[in-house]
Amino acid sequence: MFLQLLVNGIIAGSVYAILGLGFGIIFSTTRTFHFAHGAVYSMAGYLAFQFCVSWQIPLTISIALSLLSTIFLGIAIEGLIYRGLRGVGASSMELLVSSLGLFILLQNFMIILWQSDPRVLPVAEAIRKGISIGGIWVTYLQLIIIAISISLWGLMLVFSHKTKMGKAIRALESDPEMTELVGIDPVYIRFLVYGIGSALAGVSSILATMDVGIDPNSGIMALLIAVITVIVGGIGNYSGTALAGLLLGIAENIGIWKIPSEWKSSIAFGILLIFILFRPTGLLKKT
Amino acid sequence: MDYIFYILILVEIYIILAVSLNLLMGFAGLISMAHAGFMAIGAYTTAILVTRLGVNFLLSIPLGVVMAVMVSAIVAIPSLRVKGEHYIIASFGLQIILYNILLNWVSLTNGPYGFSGIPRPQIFSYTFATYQSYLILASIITFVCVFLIWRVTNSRFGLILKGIREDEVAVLSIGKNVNRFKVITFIVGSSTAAVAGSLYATAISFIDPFCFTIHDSIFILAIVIIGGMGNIFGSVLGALLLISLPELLKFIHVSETVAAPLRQMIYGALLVILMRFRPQGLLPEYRARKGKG
Amino acid sequence: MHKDFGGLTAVQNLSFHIERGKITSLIGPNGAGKTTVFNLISGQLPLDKGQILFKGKSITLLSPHKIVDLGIARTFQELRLFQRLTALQNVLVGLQHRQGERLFPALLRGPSLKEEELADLQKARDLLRLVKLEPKGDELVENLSYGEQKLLSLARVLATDAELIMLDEPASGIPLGEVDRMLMIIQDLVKQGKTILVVEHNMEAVMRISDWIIVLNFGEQIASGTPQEIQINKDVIRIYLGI
Repeated sequence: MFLQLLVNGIIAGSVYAILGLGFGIIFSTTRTFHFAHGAVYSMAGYLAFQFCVSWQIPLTISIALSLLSTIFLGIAIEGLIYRGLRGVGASSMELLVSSLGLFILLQNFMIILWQSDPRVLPVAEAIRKGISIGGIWVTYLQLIIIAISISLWGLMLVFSHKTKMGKAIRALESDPEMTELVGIDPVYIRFLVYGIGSALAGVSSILATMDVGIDPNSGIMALLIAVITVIVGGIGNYSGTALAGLLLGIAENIGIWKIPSEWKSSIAFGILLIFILFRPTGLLKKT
Repeated sequence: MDYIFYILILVEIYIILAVSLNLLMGFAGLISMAHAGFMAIGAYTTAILVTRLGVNFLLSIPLGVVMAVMVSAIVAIPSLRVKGEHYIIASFGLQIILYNILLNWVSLTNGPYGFSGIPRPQIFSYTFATYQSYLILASIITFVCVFLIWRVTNSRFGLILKGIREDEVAVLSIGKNVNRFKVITFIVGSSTAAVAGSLYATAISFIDPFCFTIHDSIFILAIVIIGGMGNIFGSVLGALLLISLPELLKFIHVSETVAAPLRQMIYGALLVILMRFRPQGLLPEYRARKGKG
Repeated sequence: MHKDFGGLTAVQNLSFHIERGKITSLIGPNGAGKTTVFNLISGQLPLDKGQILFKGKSITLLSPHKIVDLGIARTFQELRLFQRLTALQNVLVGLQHRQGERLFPALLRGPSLKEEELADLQKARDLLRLVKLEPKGDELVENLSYGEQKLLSLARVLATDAELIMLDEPASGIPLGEVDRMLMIIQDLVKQGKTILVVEHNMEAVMRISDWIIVLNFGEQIASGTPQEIQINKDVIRIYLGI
């Protein structure tokens, strides 16, 4: 029983980890509380559903189209809204509020288009088949989710530390003024970061939509979980964030063993509050 | 006509909510996303006391406030250690936890079923049965709440709050205990929201946890920002506009399922547009931001 | 008043006295730790080693607002005025222990509160008059010139009625005429029984008004003495010329 819950937790945590990485790279680089990220997340799942189910486009193409659209949306938000606000000297509070407004706008737009029922992405029956490994039930889809999560985490680490772009991003993270002096264009970096972050949001959204479906509340819950993983994991610390996501998933699922399942989301916030109060720098020290 | 009285009652409830949140946000700089949660404390206290224990509505109001004071006092002190964005997220967390309590502590709150048939207030033998009569009662209560908060903001206390919002270190350097001011303000603002909740419970006669979600907290926040942070009358105007104008939407024939999210889309768009062109809101506290060079 | 600092990296093994009723100046090159000393005394920075005594009592562990309560107040190099308040309001908030600061009196507004408010307005205007800012009382701080803001920050710290007033660069960055005004006000304060500690770069001003000068470099005390003694002190001359 415990092991089953543990594995369930790892699966959920894998999605959380990707979520956290996406929000994390945006937040640590731009220091903007990108509330609208929750809507970007939702949009990916709903778009995939629209392409695949309503318009009968093959699944893989639907996923690709949806990811592209999500990346485009994230970059558009930065380019059309945030950049303009920064240009007129907006404070971070004002950026947060406009991001909140965007979230409300987009989220309700999705409600009008797709109503309140949960939407699920149909995946081939073969992947939904469950197998039993040592008495624990997982579906192939869930194994794929874990694999994708680990790969993305690895990719992020390699990208961040070994590539020129990754290093430029880290430079902007730690010292915005120096970065400009050294000739790195922060405008370009920001677009890059919103693109990557939104792509990651898209991936986690599509995976979740395949596994459990998406509904109008998914966006805000995803955002909150993303925020929790970034705070618990440490801003700018990719490994910390991924680890935090994983641990959060595990904690939630094991938690409902002892605590009634209705209190599940309180577990996440309980952990958050403990960290905010006692260890605001996060789980791991920044690399 | 009856319908207009109903809308006015709602407007007044949200005036109380917006003015009290404005005290927190626009004066002390405390961004709370848990305001709907505190409203719920008042609403549920009234519902429980009136329907289960037969307590008079007017007595349930101060009891609701007492409950809210206790909760906000417990929360206020640890929250002092939390800075900036972390504070916003922590208040988010508080809202979710309060909501979960409403939903899951079934023996106390009836869980997802909530309370229905909450009776209208009664003084001696007079029952405020109609919206018209209830509006009079609500107006008195609303006026008292707004007046008291206005008094606070207009006093030396309020001036110091404005200082805290701008520069806490400077306020400390002139000998003021910033933490004390923040805690008191948080308690006052949050428990005033409970009064609005008590009014809501008896006005609508039916409450459940879904009336007090994070989205409702965000809505109150939107009213404060659109009306103008740091300006009490801005919150009054904001509540009036954001509650009554969407009613005009009813004259455009959109289906009910579209009307609600459409309304929200308008709020969202308003927030984005305001932040770009008039971030101080409708009634500013002081002049607009200066452009950066 | 006696201060003993040790072991904060910006300030090491520093120990000095400040005499009541006199003007003491802290000078030294940039980064010498002068503002750090202020931050330590005012309670903004925690002290790693040592202690700070004020009138015989240790204030080392107290929080900033309590230190003001005991009678020490400071200005900031970066002023830290409340830009969105008026000049008059900035001075008003400096007044200590007013009824209007407590919630219930503020709500009830009894007659004693109203009396206090009227008296406060008068006091605040008097302070503004002292720094020649009275006509600008209702201006928002963001509309005042830098020199005016500097004078206002002095008025605000005076509103606290502190015994020991620490001024961070009162004479820097303002035109010559205003410097004279500032120095005259400072000297007047001593006549009223205040004790002044000044951090300052303007050497002429320092030499003019100081009773005692302490020279810091790299967080340590290099020399101390009267202006005459400091002016001929070889170590001091060396560190200033050697920059």
